[in-house]
Amino acid sequence: MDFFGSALYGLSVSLQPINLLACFIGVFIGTLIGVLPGIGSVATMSLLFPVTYAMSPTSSIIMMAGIYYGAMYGGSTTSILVNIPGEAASVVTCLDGYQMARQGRAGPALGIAAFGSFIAGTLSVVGIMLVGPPLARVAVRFGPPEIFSLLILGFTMVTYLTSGSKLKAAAMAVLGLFLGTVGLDPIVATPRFTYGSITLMDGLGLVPMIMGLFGVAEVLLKIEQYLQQEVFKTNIKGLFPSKQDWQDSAAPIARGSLLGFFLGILPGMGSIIPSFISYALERRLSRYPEKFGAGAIEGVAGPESANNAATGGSMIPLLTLGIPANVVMAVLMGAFLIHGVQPGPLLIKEHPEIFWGVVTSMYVGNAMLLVLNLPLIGLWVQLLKVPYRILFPLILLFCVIGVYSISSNIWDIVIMLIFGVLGYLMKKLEYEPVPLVLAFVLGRMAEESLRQSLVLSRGSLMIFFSRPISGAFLIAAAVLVVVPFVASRLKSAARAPGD
Amino acid sequence: MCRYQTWAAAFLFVVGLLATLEARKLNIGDFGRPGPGLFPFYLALVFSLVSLALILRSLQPGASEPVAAQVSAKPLRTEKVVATLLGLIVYAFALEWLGFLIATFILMLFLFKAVDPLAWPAAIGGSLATSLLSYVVFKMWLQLSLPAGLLGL
Repeated sequence: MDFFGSALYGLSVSLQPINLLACFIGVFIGTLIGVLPGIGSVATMSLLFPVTYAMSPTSSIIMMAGIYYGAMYGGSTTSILVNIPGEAASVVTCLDGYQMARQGRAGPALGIAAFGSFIAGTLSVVGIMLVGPPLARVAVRFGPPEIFSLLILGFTMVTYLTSGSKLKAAAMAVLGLFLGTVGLDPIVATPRFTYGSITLMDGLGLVPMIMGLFGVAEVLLKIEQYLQQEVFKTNIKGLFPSKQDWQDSAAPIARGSLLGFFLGILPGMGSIIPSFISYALERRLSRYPEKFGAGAIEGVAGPESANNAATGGSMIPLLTLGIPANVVMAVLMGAFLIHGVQPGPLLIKEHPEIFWGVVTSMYVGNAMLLVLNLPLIGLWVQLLKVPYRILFPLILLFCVIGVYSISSNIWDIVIMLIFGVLGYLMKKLEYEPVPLVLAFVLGRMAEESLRQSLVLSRGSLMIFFSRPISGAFLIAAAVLVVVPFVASRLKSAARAPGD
Repeated sequence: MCRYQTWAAAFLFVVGLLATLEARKLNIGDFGRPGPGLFPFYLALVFSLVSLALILRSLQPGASEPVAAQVSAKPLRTEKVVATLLGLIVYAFALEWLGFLIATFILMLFLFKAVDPLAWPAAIGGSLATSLLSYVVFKMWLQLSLPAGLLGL
């Protein structure tokens, strides 16, 4: 099938009434939780796992994906209006978006965020269509050694890209891999670290872990502080950006889209870093860098486009390699597996309706968001007035119901609470949960590919270096580890003579 | 020196050592014939080593204390965190006996009162509304399996 044939086929799937409804529900819930600070897309997607049991795999994935990019839209609304990023990826939008709102320009700020996100989202869908199939064709030829080396590269990048200590991130990644070994061994089904518990036989659940680390922990951290709600005062008029606004924003939107899409493909990147890089880039390129931080529309347009394009880019590793690039994609992968569909190089061939349906639904969803968001901003503003002391018991209740209903097992609630406490302590001690979850999800794949490779090579580790693609992945991983180390040594050596 | 960080890293180190010992009980095999214990054993070993590196680094003079552990302007309400957790644990174990409706009503009432207390009428009304609404949405509409308990609902 050529590009247009595939696109039309995809649209014929995503425009079916049931899938349109799934897409609408997804983007609506996504926007809602994007607006509400304290509950993110990861927790919400895990929460809706049980709800998708009754749906077809295509509709489920369409809805889940809708939550993800819908949350990006919603997150920008709160950043602009009340200086609270509903999603971490919208932190940068606060800088100039909130300043614009204070100057009475909340309307154009919200408008350009919505239009920029729409344009970026659209471009990234075209990108997936162009990049996905060729990549899948290459990936089909990957054997266990290539997969293992690619995972090692992925873990290295996740560790390398974390904002805090790299060593702590590495510790969390290894811990995640280890926790993934709890349960039955994937090859000979020997129980490991189960201590007679039936719950542990199936391994630790992804949903209790995620709900604990991202849902419960977040609530605990918030209620520990004295909560103060900022009262919203700005009034919004005229959402359509002026001609001048468009002139200022066109190039940042284009650059943000490209940057976000390609960065989003990289494992561990997520959508936060692209938005920061886009902001820094726009400030550097601007003729008036001093206006940044004081209400420059470029500072909203660029990052908002970048974070939406990154959501599209991050779908590529999951859909074509079967490797989630970030935690949201890990949850999405869980949704695939629950429906018995293995995401990866064979997805396009075996389930073209899912691949093309989901990809084109993102286009449809982006259009829905544009129509949905502009008139509903008033409603979202009202929602922001719901006090946290009313909101947090509801968030906790949703977490409990979501976790319990998966296998009607109270021990899953207990596991969630344990991870909640762990996540709370990790946040305090500045350990990142993201490497842990990603490594946990990929642990089984890593172990299987490692053991299969070792059997193939009769125990020689050289198999990972002697095969060219596998070797290239490992060299790339080694470069990532060595470069920052050498760079910091060189820097301190250069500084030393001047001291 | 960084006290919290050292303790945290030391804790991870102990976890790593225990995990290494536990993994040794499994059949490790060798590289040519890897057994179920091979992957977890080497992971636990690497984890212990990384934790040891974290301990050493936290003992270096330049190591900084995490921002969250520094004294903030207002004291943190740790007791609220403990209360919330206790409430949730009791809920988890009482859920199947009491049933979803009763247990959820009590949990909601507790959470509405324990952290930033609402007035009694609001707390009771809110808990009633939440438990009934979530029952209707999750059990009747989405047909999730939630325990019936005492009321048999």
